Amino acid sequence: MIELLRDVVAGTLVVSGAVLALVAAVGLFRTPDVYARLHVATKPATLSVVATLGAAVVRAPSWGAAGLLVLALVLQLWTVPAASHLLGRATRRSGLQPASPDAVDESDRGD
Amino acid sequence: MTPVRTTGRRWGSGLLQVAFLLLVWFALWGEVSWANLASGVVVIGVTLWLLPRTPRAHRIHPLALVRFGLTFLWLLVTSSIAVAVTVLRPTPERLRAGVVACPLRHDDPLVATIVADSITLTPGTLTLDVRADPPVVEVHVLGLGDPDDVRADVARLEELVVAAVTPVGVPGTGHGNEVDP
Repeated sequence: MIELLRDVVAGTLVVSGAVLALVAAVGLFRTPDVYARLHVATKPATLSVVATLGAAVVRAPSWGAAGLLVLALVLQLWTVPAASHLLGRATRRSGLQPASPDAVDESDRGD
Repeated sequence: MTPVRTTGRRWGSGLLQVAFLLLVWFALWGEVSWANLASGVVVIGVTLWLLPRTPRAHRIHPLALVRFGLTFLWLLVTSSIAVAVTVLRPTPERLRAGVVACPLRHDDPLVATIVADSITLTPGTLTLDVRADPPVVEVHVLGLGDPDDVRADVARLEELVVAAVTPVGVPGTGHGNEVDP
């Protein structure tokens, strides 16, 4: 019974992770500019990794393996935003405007 | 009484930090050996030397930390679904973008880091730049409505973070990290 439950939970997580990864890939082609693509490349892509690793944690053969997966998860959550932040900042400083006709811009262009 | 742990105490916390990082290093290599110990000490030493040490102390409140963690996971799920909807059915409103400047109330590097990280993984928003003095986060918003709503969301997020990891200021000078609006 517990085994079956674990399989169902892990299966659901793996499938949702795969769907999210697919959406992220499609999104890279369907969004208008770098900034929007960064949204696509961080949120669904991160949750997809979280879901897939979560599935592996549920099916992990030992506590040690589960701990290692949780470590990988935490490192993902900690580093992915930093990477996207650097890309966003570099794009910003190179002077690229968001591709939106009615874009609001409150940033300090002084730097 | 809330359980209180202060980070940033000179030697004790430094050794604890090295021990913890060594544990992570062993876990990543999957084996405890002399070679791993030696390489780990070198890598950790260089990393800690490169990273600026924060002189600020923080009080960690475990319950508030769990609360922040759960909120954060929930926001990650909803934001992923929101982006998925935008990708599959793009409309002009959903693609309306903008850069909003959000002032932070606490001038603290750790709080600013956690807030900036979480902004990126929460619905519609992405941190572009962080400025100090006064502390402001520039946020790119996808599906922008009212910029003031974005500021309110960031302020709420910051309060959650500060409740979990409270800056206690430089010891002896009292609480000196709050910025007057």
